[in-house]
Amino acid sequence: MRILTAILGALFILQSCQDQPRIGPDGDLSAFSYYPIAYELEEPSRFVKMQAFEDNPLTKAGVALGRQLFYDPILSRDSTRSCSSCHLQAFGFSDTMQVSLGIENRKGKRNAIALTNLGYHYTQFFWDGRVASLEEQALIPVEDSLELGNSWEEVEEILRKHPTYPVDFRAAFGIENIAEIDRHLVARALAQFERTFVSADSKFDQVLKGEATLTPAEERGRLIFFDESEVLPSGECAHCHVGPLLTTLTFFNNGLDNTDGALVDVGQESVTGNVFDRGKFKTPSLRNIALTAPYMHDGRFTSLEEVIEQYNKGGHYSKNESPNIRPLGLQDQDKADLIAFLHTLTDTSYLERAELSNPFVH
Amino acid sequence: MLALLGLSLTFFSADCGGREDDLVDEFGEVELNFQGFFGAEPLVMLAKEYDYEAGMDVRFQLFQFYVSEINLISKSGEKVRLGEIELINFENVQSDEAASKGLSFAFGNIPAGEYRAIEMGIGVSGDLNEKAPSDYAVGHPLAFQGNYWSGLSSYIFTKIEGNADLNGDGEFTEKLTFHIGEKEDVPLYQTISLDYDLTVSKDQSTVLPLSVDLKQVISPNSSNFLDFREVSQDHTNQAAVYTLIVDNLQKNAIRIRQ
Repeated sequence: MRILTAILGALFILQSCQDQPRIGPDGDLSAFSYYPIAYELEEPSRFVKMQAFEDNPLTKAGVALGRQLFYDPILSRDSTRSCSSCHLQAFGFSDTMQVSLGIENRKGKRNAIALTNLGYHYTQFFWDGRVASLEEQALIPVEDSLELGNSWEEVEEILRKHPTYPVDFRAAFGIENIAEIDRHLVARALAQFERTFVSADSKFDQVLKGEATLTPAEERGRLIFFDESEVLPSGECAHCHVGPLLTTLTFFNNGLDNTDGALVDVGQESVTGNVFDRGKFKTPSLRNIALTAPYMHDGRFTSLEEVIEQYNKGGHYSKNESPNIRPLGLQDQDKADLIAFLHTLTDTSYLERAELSNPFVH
Repeated sequence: MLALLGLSLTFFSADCGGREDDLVDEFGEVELNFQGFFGAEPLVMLAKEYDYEAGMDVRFQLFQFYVSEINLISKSGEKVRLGEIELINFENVQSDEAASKGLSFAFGNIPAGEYRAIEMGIGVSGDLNEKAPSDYAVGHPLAFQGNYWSGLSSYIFTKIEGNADLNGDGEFTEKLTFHIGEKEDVPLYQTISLDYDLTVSKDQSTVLPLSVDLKQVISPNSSNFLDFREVSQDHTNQAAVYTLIVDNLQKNAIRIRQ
């Protein structure tokens, strides 16, 4: 009886295996089903509504594929680095390096910008705003010799020959043949995943929803941050770091250097060619700012104390320095309270959200 | 009684957009074109420096303001809505060429006919100012977070930013930031009307040329100006400062361009 059961079981497994769809001759994927299911993203009510992204709508399979690609070092030339090497969830999808390291520990040019609420960034990505969409952004690090150091031709070839990715691309985008796997589909998948990076549950968010209260120090810091007190000094922070995203998404010269002369990194000028954009960089979000040291586009400051001290001094004059950068007159208690408030912007749930985590780690 | 009825019908007609004799059921486009000036000179951000009062010089980085409830007034007095709100933002006007081009806002589907004036509210109207950026999709003039004070539940109606050279030594080190928005008990919104004969023709675009003189806003005359030696910043907390800016923007600075 046992023998009969074993034989029947083996036959069942064999039959099941034979029923599994396979990639057909010449890379035909049509045996695999394609039923795109919309990914329902929960949008915080205080946020400006996210664009529809009609050319790349979020689907469950698309987001899942983007998640794999984000964490998979397969995109790098020597399979050592992935997007997640510089954008670690534990640090608000930033890293702890002054500037990012690429393959062979090659030193990058700028600090890894923290990734939060990217679906609400309607234009101009990177510190210098050189691309207009997440889909365009995702194309660049793969071929940057200081980052993943690969070529898209190589990546496309590897993905087409991969044992599982072709089926995943089929599920995500309905392609009929592995030959259709290309850089643009990789970028679309990465963009879909990154648009699910919604962070809206910090202590400050909870306060705004009436679910928590700030300590006296935090509240004092909030008043300084938003310039809402007639008696406390203004931090002038909210000119640039405002709204639910805690950034205006615009570009400023924040007075780090005198930018009227030569400059190591000219920022937005390198994109626009406009001398009045020299030394301007995209205003980063302050969400999870306590976790994303070091700070500034070049990671020059190792602590929030150093950042606040810089702003308190009023910056270095340049023709296009934002006039909102001015000596603040903050005293030690003001600085400490401001930092206490900045810590309320940490969203621990974002750092622990399973669906944003590395799918290759169980 | 009949007279009252007639008056009521007149108001009803105007409010509901009914066609008067001077408007027809054909449609064209109206383009508002704002050119900025500082006195007689074109208003250019960053690239130009201007003589100011008391030996000071000034250079600008940003000048912007909202206009709301923009209407054309027909010859018979009918209001035709051009737009709900626009942000007039000179930040990227950084050359004479850009200044002469001005900032244009096109409004389609405007009934063809004869018009005699334009009216618009300077600032954000009360109804709109009760909204917040989260009420709008990206790209809407009121969606930009940087123009909203969440703590005060008000949009920032007007921003002027730049630098001043206080003593004529060529160093523009004095930073200027004037941000004007409504606070409790400080109503700052006002509707203005400018006479202008305008004909809208079917399927044609007609330009309505406007000028905005920033000098009139901050320095209407040599005895009444923002003295940067005494004040270089205001976030609508110094009545003398924001009143001067708001009053002059509403009453003196915006004109039909000749």
